[in-house]
Amino acid sequence: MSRLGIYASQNYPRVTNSYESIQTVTLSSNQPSITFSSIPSTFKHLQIRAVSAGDTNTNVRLRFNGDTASNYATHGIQAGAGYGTSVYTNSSTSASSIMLFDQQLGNSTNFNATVTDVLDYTSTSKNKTIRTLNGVKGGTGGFMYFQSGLWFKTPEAVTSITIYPFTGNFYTYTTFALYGIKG
Amino acid sequence: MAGSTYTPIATYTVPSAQANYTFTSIPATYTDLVLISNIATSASTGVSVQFNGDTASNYQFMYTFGDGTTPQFGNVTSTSQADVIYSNTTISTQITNFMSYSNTSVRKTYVSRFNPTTQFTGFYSGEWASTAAISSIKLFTGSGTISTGSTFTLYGIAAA
Repeated sequence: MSRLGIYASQNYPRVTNSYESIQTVTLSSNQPSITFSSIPSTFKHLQIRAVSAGDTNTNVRLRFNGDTASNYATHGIQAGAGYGTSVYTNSSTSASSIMLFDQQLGNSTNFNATVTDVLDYTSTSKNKTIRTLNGVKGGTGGFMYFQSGLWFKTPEAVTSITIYPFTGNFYTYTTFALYGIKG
Repeated sequence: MAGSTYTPIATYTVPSAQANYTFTSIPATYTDLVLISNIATSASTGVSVQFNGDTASNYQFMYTFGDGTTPQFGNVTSTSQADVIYSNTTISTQITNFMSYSNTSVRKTYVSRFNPTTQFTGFYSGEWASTAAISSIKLFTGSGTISTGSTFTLYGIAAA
């Protein structure tokens, strides 16, 4: 680091104690899903940060509190090499999960990078919304997703989150980390 | 729980126009890195990264953006740098997530949101085809220089 960089770094902002690690799941073998359970209600928002890959060309989905009914909606923009059209949109308004991203190019080498925000997850008066930024790059292809999701079951606090590939497994080394953000 | 994280590692404020800046000696004690860039440049340009001084064709990235007309997409393979920022002469704030940067079992990936004010908004995703831990990040413009007063802050996030 240059001298100027050192000087500047001495004035960097201090930790605000508003962002905390809650739980991390790192797979030591291929698994069909990961679940964060017993999520504490002491934060305002949640963030999920992940690197993941799978053994099947499929999309990766999310559910709250084990709800498998048609209480989810997804809208998004996706782009990628390999699609007939490079950029297009996707939507579903009455699905049994939120679609986060596609791991079609996911394999044991090229991992998806994903950051998902779950907003106001403890509210018992508002439906839950999420947003996801994702990308995977491998060889000459790749995909990118910018998604929003809605869980419109009668509002309840989110206490568990399950993430799974629609078919197949997540590969070893896949990691999902859950963080809490205070408000 | 691991407790509080999202820890500032270093901040750099550009003292006078320059074409590049390098964060060095990045500790391997975190899980992810987040770069917050408050940046303007002398030209409309992509700003690229190289990790650990690697100048070989080990990078690939994609981008998509919208400017009110037809959305655009680009796919760049086997190149010697990866774009993470797009900037112009108006200051803008952009965020880049470098995932699992210290994990030596996986290649390094990132997602980045860019929004050069007055032009468009979009995002990047890319990969460095290396499993080495990232210990340095060089940022450099494709053309022109980074303007005086631009700041880069690098944060570390530690998973439980």
